[in-house]
Amino acid sequence: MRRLLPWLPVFVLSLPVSGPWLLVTWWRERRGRQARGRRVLTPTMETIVRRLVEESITVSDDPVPLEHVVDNVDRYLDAREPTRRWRIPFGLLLVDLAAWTRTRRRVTQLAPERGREVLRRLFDEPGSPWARLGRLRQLVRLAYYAHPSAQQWMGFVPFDARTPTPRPARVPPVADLPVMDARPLEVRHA
Amino acid sequence: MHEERVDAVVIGSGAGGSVTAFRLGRAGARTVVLERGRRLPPEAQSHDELAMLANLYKEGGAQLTADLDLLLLQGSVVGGSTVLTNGVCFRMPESVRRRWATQGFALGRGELQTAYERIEAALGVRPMSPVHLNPGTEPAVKGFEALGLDVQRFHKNLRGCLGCGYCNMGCPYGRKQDAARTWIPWAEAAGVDVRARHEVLKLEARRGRIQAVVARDLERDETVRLRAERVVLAGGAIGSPELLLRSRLGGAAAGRRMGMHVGSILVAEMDEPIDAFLGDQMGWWHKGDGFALEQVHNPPMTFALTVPGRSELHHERTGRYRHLTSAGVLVPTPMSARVVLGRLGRLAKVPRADVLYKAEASVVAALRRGFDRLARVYLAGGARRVFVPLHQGSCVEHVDELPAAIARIRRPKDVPGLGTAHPQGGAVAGDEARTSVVDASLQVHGVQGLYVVDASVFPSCVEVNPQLTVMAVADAVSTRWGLPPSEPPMSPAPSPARALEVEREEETVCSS
Ligand SMILES: Cc1cc2nc3c(=O)[nH]c(=O)nc-3n(C[C@H](O)[C@H](O)[C@H](O)COP(=O)(O)OP(=O)(O)OC[C@H]3O[C@@H](n4cnc5c(N)ncnc54)[C@H](O)[C@@H]3O)c2cc1C
Ligand code: SF4
Repeated sequence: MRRLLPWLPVFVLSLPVSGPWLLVTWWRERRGRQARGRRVLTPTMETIVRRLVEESITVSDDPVPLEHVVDNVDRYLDAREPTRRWRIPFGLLLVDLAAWTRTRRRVTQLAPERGREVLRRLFDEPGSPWARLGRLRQLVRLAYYAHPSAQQWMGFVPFDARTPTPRPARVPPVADLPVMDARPLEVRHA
Repeated sequence: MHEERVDAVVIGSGAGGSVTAFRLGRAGARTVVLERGRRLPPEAQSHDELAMLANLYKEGGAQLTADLDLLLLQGSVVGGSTVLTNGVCFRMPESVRRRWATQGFALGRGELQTAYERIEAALGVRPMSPVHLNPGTEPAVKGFEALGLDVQRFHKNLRGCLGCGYCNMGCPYGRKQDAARTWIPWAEAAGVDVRARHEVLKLEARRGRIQAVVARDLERDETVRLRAERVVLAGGAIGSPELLLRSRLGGAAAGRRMGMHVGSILVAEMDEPIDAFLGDQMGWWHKGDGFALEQVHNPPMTFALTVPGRSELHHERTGRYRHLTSAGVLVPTPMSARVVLGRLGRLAKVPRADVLYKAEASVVAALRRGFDRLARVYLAGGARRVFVPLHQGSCVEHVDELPAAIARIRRPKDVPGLGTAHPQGGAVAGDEARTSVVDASLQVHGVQGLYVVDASVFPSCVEVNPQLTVMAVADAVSTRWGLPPSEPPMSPAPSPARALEVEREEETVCSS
């Protein structure tokens, strides 16, 4: 936060120009969100999510269409409880601006390949003030691996699809694992 | 603003709030419980991890410390964090009980024993069924045996568990005896009015007495003011100090002396598929020197977050899910964290709390020891390789390589997924108003009628999974208040809507 402080006067001085621009952008983003039927993600946020997926889950045999990952991110952000709901959407927008500090272009204005490279530099370069935004990678991982196709690809069998097995056949060989001693207040230490 | 008058208001419906509400209700007090989260009964829960994360967890499971280094997991739902537990039930170590007494919060051995026994009986706490130990248990137990180390099976508050492996996402089968299945309905049966989606914004006190609480009905978007002579704050560590700070109550100690069991997960890979997802997430536990090891095998979405590595490497490793098994290291921290009102948040109408914590060198050292031991256990138990939790995903195939990998853990931010599900303190109990917020009856120093009954009163980390102790403290303190001891009914039968699964469970368990 402190590293951003020097930018504050620049921001304030530029308000007469940037103010109207911000307003127009806000209005355009809102319209774009509605037009795409999204509940939280605006077009800019959506592009950032796409770049994040491409950057952090690059695979050739991809089982999950990118569109579904974006759907999941939107669904998750919409369902969250109200406390600090703005944080992640704000973080996504910040990524766009972070790229500008490096390249004088926003991520959304860069070619996908270049966008990915810039993200990697922003998040991974030692000492980068934007490194913490790298946490957003976890968001896209959540959205990706929440998809049933990804889970099937992992070899996971959903509970409802598991075949019932008679109890005795399933008791594992470690069934005699001693039970922790709960009666005295003192727990046993190794 | 809508105004009401009642005898008691309980803020929060988790481990502390639910037990207290039950005791107040049974004592005949007109009691209202205000809970920020939704009411999500088993029928409304599912195995959709993303939806459950968003609906059951505070901030959708993305609550972080102010420096964004540590994940703080807490529930925000009727039943609080108990809805998200793995049902693990521990009594507190005697050494901790004694330490608390020296810190000004004396709990009698007999007093606690009675409370534990009552709670355990009510929740059906017993050794978890070996049938539901997941297949990842075997290599771990073999490893502990090979190294001559002690390992034990948990006690849990589950009834008729099916071993689906989704405990951290609630329990759609109603088998977990969390507060939403037990204390809350029992309190309601005793006349307590439990209101979901009501967030308390402020406490009002005048001339050393609590007067009222102001809450927002999030459903109707309306403000409610409840006047009461007794207000029990049970919003959990972080939530309770936040409310005290926002209301300028609790003195200089409010928000101070917070701690947590901090930890992360180490993943081990076996040669053959073991399908560790077939069974309960948590089966075993081991106590080390300054750390504990606990099995945790997450369902696929959350598991993917615990696999270290980037891009293709991460994806490739996650694709080996059937071969993977995992466990966590937990380290109790000193009470050096702080809850403060957020810098930006102060400008907001309802300022939110930030948690400030810088991990001590001793904590990092204990994490290292814990990961070292866990890695050795898995390697001795036949793992082909282990992934030490580092951002670059340090893969270790032989114990000789371990010291170099472990040495790379220098700061909390080196460890991906570092966080806590056990925040404690922040409104600690003690006898001095300068260093503590509440006295031994958990009443806020200098504010008559205002109590704090949750994990935030712990003067130091409890060093074991806390839910049972939070409940036992709530029960013991209710007795100190003079509320008549009241035997709770036994935990309810599994949800009737899922009667089919009950039958199925009697006969069978599931495999792939
Ligand atoms: C994923 C997970 C797994 C866990 N597993 C275990 C386990 O297996 N065994 C174990 O012993 N412990 C476990 N724990 C920890 C245990 O659940 C908690 O330590 C315990 O529930 C704390 O109780 P509490 O009363 O302090 O707070 P909580 O149970 O968290 O309850 C606090 C409640 O207050 C509400 N609240 C907060 N502020 C406000 C407000 N302003 N207005 C209205 N409502 C408010 C919150 O929404 C919440 O519902 C786990 C925790 C998590 C997150
Ligand atoms: S059925 Fe058992 S394993 Fe599954 S969520 Fe419920 S308590 Fe946990």
